[in-house]
Amino acid sequence: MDAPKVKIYGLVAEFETPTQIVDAANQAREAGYTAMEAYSPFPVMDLHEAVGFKRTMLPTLAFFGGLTGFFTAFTLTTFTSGGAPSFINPFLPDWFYYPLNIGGRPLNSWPAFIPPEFELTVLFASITSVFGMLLLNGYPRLYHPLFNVPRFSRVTTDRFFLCIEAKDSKFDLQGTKQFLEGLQPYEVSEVPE
Amino acid sequence: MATEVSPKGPDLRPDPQPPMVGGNHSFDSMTEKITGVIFAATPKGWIVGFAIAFMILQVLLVSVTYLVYEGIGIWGVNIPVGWGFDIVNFVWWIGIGHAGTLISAILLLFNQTWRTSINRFAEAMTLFAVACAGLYPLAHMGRPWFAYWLLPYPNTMQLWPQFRSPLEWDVFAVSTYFSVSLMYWYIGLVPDFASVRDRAPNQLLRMIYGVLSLGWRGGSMHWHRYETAYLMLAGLSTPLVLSVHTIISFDFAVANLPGWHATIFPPYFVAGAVYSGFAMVINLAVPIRHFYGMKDFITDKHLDNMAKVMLATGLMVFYGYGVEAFMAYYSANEFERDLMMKNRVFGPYGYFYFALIFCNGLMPQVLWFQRVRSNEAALFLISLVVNVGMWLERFVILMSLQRDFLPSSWGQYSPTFWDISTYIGTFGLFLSLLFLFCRVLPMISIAEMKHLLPESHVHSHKDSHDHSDSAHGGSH
Amino acid sequence: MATISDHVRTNMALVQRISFGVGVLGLGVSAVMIGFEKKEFFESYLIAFIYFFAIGAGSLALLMIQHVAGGAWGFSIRRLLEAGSRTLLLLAVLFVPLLFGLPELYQWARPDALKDRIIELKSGYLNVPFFLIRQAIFFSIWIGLAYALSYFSRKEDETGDESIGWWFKALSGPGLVVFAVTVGLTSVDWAMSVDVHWYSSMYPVLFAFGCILSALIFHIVAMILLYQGGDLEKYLTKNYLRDFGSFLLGFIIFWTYLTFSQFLLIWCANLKEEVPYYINRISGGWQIVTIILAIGHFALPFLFLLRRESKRVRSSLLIAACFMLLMRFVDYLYLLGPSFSPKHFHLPVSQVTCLLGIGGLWLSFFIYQWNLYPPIAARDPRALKEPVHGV
Repeated sequence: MDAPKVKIYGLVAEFETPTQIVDAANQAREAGYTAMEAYSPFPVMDLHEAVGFKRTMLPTLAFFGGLTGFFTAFTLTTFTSGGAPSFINPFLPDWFYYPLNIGGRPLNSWPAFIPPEFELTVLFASITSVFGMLLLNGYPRLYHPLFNVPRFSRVTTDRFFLCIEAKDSKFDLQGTKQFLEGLQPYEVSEVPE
Repeated sequence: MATEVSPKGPDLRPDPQPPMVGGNHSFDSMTEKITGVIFAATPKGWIVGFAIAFMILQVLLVSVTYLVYEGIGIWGVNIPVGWGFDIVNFVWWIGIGHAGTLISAILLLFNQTWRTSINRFAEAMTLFAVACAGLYPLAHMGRPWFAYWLLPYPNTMQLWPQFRSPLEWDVFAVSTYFSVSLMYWYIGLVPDFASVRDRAPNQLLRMIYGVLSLGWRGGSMHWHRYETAYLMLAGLSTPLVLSVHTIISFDFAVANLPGWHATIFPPYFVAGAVYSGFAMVINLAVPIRHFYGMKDFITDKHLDNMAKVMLATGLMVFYGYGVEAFMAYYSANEFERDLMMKNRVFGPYGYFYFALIFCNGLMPQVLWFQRVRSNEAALFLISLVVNVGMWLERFVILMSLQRDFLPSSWGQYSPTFWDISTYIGTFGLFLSLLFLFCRVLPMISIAEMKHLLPESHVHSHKDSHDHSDSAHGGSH
Repeated sequence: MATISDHVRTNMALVQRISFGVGVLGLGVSAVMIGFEKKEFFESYLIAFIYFFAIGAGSLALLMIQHVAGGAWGFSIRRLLEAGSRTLLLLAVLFVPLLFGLPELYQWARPDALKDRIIELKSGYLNVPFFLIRQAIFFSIWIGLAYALSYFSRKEDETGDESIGWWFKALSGPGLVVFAVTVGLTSVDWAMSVDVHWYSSMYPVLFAFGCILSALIFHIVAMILLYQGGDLEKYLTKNYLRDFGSFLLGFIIFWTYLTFSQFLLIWCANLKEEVPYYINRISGGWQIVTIILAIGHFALPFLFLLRRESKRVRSSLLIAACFMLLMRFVDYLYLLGPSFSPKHFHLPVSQVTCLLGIGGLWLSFFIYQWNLYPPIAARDPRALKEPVHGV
């Protein structure tokens, strides 16, 4: 085979069913490939494990996001209302200290501060999980070499793709191509960078 | 090859064998059906419908413009009834929004797959309903350009909002609710935007939907994180939706007023919200599945399930009325008792109370019968009546304001022309947004629908995993 | 056909015998205590009774909910729920002693009650004859529902007739409405009217939901202990357990939500006819109970169950559920204790003996009831859909 004229991002094999892609990913992982990714039109159960990824840390991130939200609201409501322990108040800047007497309720009206605390907990945890998901996934990324493969557009309809990337230490155009073809794909194509 | 920059349109070779499902749909036909609505020429019915909705929207614009120009005096609110149509409609719209979140979040957590085909437009409904709702407090401020004063931020006046007030809690609750619903809706749309992108007939659409899809390409780890985030959002939305209507019920219940200060308000408001929300979903689902031929996706089974949820929540609401009446008696508090009997039931707006009992309590009892639940027209009608009933509920609660402790300060509320026109106008806003949504966005979640087809399941040799695990896989 | 493993069967028989002995002994000792502290005895007895009543009534509610809502979770514990709901029969018998202590427990049942203006206004509802009639009717309804559902369950086992499913639904739908109304009124009768001037419209909802929560917790414990070994083990897979763990988490959150909403509204209002209820609960030593409840009934289990593994691993879910069983008692103590002895914290000895007495008898009766039927409703239509959950 001729040397490629353009830089190659990797090789992509197209499959027709979720079962095939899971099997293919398992075999590729067992064959020692590491820099690869499987693409599907909908989440396929445990496919990420077949490819060799671990469980995401997103829940932990969101938990700390929620905690941050809680303490933000706690500080905001309690401190500005003058409800903080008295030794703290002298250290608060003027603009952050605004005690109000509302119908004789205590300055530290903690039961009344729970609703805002709850809301900010939820808000921060949600923002963390959504943006955390997008950032960890590397989105937005409008251009990707895979889009150069015409048939890859079917990944959002009904086809499943396994891409072994050129940066994989085991990658070699010829051998990898043969390996992928051995998995009985619908088609194997080169992905130009 | 290297010169190809953007993805090609759909395919090159015909499929050897399109996989068929349940005799009806394959991955491909499903995608085609749902995205097809976007690419098809604008249907005449849509143009007519949108035109009408858009005209009604103008009523809102005129009403709000005049309100801002003239002031709150154009509304019927005055002492003793300082809140009128504005709060009634605010609560009503927010309540309608809640079904969207319930369908998309709670039913997802309960693994109820029937939610899949209706969650997208139910979520859209949530957003648009919350948008309509949010308008009222802003308008009632009189000077809406100072709305940001509600937010807690360091300012040159060195003032902070009154955090003990349920109205300030509302600011937190409604803004959080809107933001979280928007994020939830948007990330649900991302993979579908990619589907639309890959099927777009021209470059412009491909670029627009490509940008909206953020470049989604469906990698396995992407899906894993995506599902995890989606489930966490569902888990967070569930208590959130409860808290939102709870805080709205606090707007009333924190006031020391007979008929308002009732501890049952939080759960009873939430049930009422879900009740009217499901009624609205049925009101929207019935025409949509007709006009867009979506009966394969929004089936009779869906209507049946929604009717059951409506019946259940309706009974909870009815129970709430019962508890309220019983506690008014049991409290042995003369103001509570008078409020119940002399104002609410036999007062100036007493007939509204009876109408309310009929609309929300008695009439929906026909939903016990399978025959009624399977009749589309009957369901549509019942849902309309329930929506009226839920509006009446808030109105009846509000009218407690007419008669407080001192007879000398009693008064009667009546809405003005502008109260009514603003209310009608919000329908214009709601429907216009909904029409636009149906036109340009995938109405049904494509990626999730595919999950319902049998061929989406992996038949591995080990067969050691089961499907439901993946549905919950990311939950913690 | 799923069967109980021999190991569990032997242990169960032993537990049944021991608990019966403890029950008889506990009630005997309690009865002796009437002589010393009559009022204290009835107060303790009421709290202990409500604690176990909640599990029985909650089982009935959960049973009806699972008939209406479907779902694999309900199928897997259906027989436990049926057995739990049939314990209402024993609970009706155990309720009888309370009738001799009405004046000790309730101000409105005393001869001079009508001197109080507020009690007089309520006397149309709160009077002894009407109270007795109500209790008779309510217990008949609950027991009737429980036994009717069990009857059809037996019929389903025998005939496999699919039309029986209609009966389950026809009884359960309206049954839930009746349950909500009757248990709601019962909460007023038994518990709320102890503070005879006080009222809160959240109370019936909170009480009825408390029953469901108690029952869920108890059945999680029962399921994990009783399904061990043998072919029942397949209902103890991680996925089944996770469903129950999630329910538990959700229910605990909802309980907190109801409890806190009621507190917040009364705290904000600060009205003299309402707020003493909470003043009694945050002073005189009772604040410790309140704090224990806030931490133990919400914060700890919430954080614990938030973790994915805690819900899926048998031992950790069992620990959480057992801990919650204890917390349910603290909740009922908090519900009534401060009303019985305001100003100072008090946990009489008779509280322990009553709890052991009623609990012992109840548990042995529950095991007896559970043994009457095969452990799994094999002809439930949901049984055919197995396995819904794999490993």
